[in-house]
Amino acid sequence: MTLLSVGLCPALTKETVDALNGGGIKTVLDFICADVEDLAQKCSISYKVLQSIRRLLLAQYSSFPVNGADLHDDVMSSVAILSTGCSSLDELLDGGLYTSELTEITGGPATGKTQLCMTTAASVATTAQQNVLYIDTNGGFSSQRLQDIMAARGNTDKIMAAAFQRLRCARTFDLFELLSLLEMTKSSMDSGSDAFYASLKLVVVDSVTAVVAPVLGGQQTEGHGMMIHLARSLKALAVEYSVAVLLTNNQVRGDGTQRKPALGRTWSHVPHCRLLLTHDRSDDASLCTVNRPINREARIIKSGRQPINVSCTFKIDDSGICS
Amino acid sequence: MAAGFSETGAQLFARLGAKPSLEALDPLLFPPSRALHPGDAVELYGPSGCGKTELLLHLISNCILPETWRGAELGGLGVGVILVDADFQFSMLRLFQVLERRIVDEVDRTKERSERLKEHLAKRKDASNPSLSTNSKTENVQSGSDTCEMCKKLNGRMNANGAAGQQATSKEPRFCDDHRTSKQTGKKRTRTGEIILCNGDECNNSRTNEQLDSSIVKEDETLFEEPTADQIEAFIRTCLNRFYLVRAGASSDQLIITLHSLESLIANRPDVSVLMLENVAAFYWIDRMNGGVASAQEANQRRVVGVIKRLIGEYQLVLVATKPALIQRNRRNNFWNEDPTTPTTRSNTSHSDYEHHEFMCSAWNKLITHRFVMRRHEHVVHAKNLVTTQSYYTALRTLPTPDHLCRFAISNKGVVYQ
Repeated sequence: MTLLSVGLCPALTKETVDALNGGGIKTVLDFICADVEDLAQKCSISYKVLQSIRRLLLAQYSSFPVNGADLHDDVMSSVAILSTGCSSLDELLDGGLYTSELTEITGGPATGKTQLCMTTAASVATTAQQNVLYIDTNGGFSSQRLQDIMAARGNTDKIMAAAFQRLRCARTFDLFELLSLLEMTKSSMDSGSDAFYASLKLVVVDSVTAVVAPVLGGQQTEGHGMMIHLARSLKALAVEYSVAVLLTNNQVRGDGTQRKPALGRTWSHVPHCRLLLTHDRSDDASLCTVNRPINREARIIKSGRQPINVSCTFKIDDSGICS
Repeated sequence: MAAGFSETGAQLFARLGAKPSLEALDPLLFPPSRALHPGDAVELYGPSGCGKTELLLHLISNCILPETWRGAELGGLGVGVILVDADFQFSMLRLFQVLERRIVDEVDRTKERSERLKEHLAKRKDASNPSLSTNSKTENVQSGSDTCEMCKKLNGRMNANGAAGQQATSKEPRFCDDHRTSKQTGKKRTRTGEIILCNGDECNNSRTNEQLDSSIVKEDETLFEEPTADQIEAFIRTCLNRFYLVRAGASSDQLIITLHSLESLIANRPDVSVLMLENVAAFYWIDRMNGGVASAQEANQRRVVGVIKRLIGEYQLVLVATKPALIQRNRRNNFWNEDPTTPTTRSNTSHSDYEHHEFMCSAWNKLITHRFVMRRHEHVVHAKNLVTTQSYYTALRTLPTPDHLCRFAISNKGVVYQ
């Protein structure tokens, strides 16, 4: 909420601001929403002056409409599709992860969420040669594993060294740190002072649940408010800076036996695309036989571009996720 | 009135002039008895993944596509749309895909029809007896009066068209743009008085006599020219020129100020007749968190309603907004307390499944004149050892009165009614 103050625009002099404050108009929002004619009478400021202030404030604080044809040109020139490093998943996702979209991977424990994140990070840093910001909120990131994945995919040491230059990992265990990290990322991308952020194409957050779940529960309003703050921050990063954002989310058991993605109804509106990972391994470890391969499946459960309920199989080996 | 004394003639026209009618926007969602009128506000309500955004894209394409293009009936209105996206949800790629598929499908259908017709005409020619075929030239000239005759590039025929064209226009409104212009030039070249070959009545008689109606109406399509991919893309661009996107996802302040700022765009573009708002509840939780007492929590919602009400009232727009089902009413019966994110598998749907729970301020509720409650349904299909889950979607009208259940599927060309 921006307060009206001297110097916001040339016509806002000390006297004008005082007169407006006297009339109960304290913020830019109050001013925009007020009727100009009423205001002119109430605060005895000339209609013309108020009109010009209003025009300037509108221009300053609103976002601009973009014509559809221009937007299309913009999108076509800026959109990038990043391979996940697994051909069956790429096919499922119509090419891979799209920039300007939030893709969420949800699944129970040990279904391959973190492996998918690391494989994608490895693939984007080596094959696509784009910069990756990996935000680890649950301690699942392992640079050794990342190196193994790259090596198993036949990359030379030189390529791997270059890939690690394109990859930054940030570790945070709380929502507020994550929010400030995202804001810092946006301002770095705006300023362009750091070459890393200038060509950042993928942001991975593994996992969202780890930071959001602790603030949920109890007083619902606060927790939901913070969760939506995070959602908006991530979406703004994706859409306004044309970055692909990959999130992981846990699963919880609903009222019945059915499992559903964690974080509830409000969060379900947030991701553009949701991918559910499942496997057929028994939860009981003693029943697991060593030799039997685990069947893993990825299924699209929400998408703005593609048919839902389509699935593919994948496996996890030395080279990360592969088909 | 914020437009003030700086209002230009064009702006006054935009504000007071007649807007294109939206009655034909979507005959299934809005049948004639429930047609949309300026000042109406439509709400699409439902849980995540129930097709709200898809339906919005469908309505956008219905608005920005023209009625016809090169003989293909696209069924659009050719009016302008502003989409205010408060939720970063809009995907240009998807809108483009929907438009492209709709156009390509319709062009293919027109092409197929014209080819069938060509065959049909060829057969007729062979079958008709010689005495008739000597007549056929004049016949064609006469019958051409209400088809898009210009395509034939024959002067005599053009003249006939020019002479009788005026009577015919009302019967045959399906001139494509190219033909319409050539028809006008044709008229200019014709000195009507001299070359009248027949009048309208004679034409009609001859046609009924020969039972030519069906084939002749579509005769112009035998010369249907298939557009290239580039031409289709260029055409989509001209459609997209009628569309404006405003992203206002930073804060509710930004949303409200942006809505105020749209006034100048709306005033300068008289063809804009629909305002869309993706996710009116985008800032619901944040406002509540910042709010304090209940009235303060709803202050921003009331401001949004205030500015929308003024815009759609003064500029005769229709509002279409999506509202996610953020909060569900607690049900006492545990049996019904199913997870709303998992779609129902029951096939018989009663109206109680389409419960709407208002969580926005009462001003918003008062603004809405049409409400659709949407759901996704899934049914498992067993075919050749393959178990697939198919989805279909339904939208039940609950406002003004609960009556109308639309069932649709979502394909790569967007919403397809079933």
